[in-house]
Amino acid sequence: VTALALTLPILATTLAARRLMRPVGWVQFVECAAIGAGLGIGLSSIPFFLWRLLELPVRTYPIVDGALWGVVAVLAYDRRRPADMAARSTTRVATWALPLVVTALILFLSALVVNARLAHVPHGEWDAWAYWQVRASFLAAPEGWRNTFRPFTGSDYPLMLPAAVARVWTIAGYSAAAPAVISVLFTMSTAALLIASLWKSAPLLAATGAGLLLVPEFLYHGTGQCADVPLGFFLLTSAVVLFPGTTVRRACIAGAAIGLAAWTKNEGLVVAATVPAVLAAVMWRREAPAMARRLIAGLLMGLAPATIVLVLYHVVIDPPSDLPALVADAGPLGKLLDVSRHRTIWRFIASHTAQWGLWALFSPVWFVAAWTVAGAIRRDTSTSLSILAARTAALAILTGTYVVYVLTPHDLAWHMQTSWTRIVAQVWPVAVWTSLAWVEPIRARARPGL
Amino acid sequence: VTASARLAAGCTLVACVVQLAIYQYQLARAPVPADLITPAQAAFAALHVDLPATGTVGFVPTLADPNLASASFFVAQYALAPHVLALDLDDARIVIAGPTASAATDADPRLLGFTFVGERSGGIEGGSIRLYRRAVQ
Repeated sequence: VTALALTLPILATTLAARRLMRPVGWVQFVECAAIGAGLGIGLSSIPFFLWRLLELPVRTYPIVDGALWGVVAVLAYDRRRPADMAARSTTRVATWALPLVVTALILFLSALVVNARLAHVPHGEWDAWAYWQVRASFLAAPEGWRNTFRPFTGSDYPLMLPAAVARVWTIAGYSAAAPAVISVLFTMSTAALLIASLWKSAPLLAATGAGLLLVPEFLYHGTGQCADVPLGFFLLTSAVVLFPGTTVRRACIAGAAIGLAAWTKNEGLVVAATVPAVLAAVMWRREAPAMARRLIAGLLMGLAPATIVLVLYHVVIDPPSDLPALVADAGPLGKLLDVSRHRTIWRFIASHTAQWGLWALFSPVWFVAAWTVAGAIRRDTSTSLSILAARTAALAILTGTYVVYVLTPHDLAWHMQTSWTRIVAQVWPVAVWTSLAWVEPIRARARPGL
Repeated sequence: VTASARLAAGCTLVACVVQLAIYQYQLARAPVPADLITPAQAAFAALHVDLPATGTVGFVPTLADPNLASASFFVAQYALAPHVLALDLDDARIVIAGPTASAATDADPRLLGFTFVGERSGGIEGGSIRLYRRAVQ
């Protein structure tokens, strides 16, 4: 029943993505399905939260939910066969056979790791069951669900993940498997999206991307059942969907992904405040005014659902947050001007980023850095809007995190040790993708199919 | 893809596959730790019927390790939502002690002013979860 509860919104959103993106060939269809899976889970949290906000009876929600996503699926279904879906590849087998085998090997090893990790931590990491799943259990309770907004650490966090889990529990009953399945779906959707996106350029790059994305530490966080990998998925979607070219429909999907990032974690709020503004400015500068207006309207239309629910969340619920008072008490100006504090943070970030990845000998960060440097030397402007979105998002999160570290009222070492590896996991998908997406952009346009 | 890019991709892929295989091997060899959350969660969840519909429920962790004590609080909260648990017993009319409570827990100074009401077995490490009510003054 858990699987069924997840299947309907995923199916409906995949059909919607297929209609909007009009995939050409199987690789682009995989891209649509990956986007549909993540966005479907994310979007399914919104009507559930609104239902709770309206204090409507939770027992009737499964019927309403089924009807809602059923209608969306019917409306989104495009009877036209996607162009060239069955078209034969014109690429030589030698070009894709070996990358396909290596990608399959990486996915197989990753599946073994995921399986072993879930045996070790069936409820996820500490933060997952102590925070995210606790909130889900409040949201799923027939009465008293607003008790979750009592003053408590992180009580102002957005609700995408707990509401998505609570929705499944409301439909299918409590199961520890639900947050685990959602967590794995986000991890694997991220991988599928990255692989499919790069496969369009060159299969060898897709295999490389799979290897770099699915490093042990990413899988560690992917099975940890926290909100970091879902956030990373939304950031990647917002960039990949604009690659290699932008249409109004793709801008709409990018907007939806950015909105859901803000509905997933507070770091996503920083992304939602910066990336649409940057994208709109670039669209305005590059396109004719009429086209720019349409693209920006598409972006804003996609942003709307999550933005509306976020505004309602903060206006109606007004979740308590003790952070501003704590920061004010702890003397923010003194901290900002404290050079030794900045030095401590930079040292920590440098040393822990250089070790990130859980590799035995060295860090995969060095590989991503090398590919990024190579890309910086040979830059191609045709991919720059999507890469700009990805880099703006990553930069916004890293800058926001740095400011939080400087101002944190908590013990600085504790704060950094408990959060930095997760911050890297959030930006890891876009970092890997941008490090490789520059290599073959022209061929991507010339040969959109497999 | 240029020859240099192919070479770089090959090196990257070899490193990725080898490191992932090493991690998978290490993880497969590591003993699976006992799942303490599932039994504790089930034991705490059984208390739903004993708790009043409203009001804060006090919680006294009985595990000596501070990390585990903190963990037991969150597991109890996970199991007992939408009841609100609090470590501060000032506003609590009813208190839960666990998940390794025993008769000796009644003497805990934090439970001064509370009387033992009953217990449920199924805590961890052979202990139980005990329930206390604020004594009528």
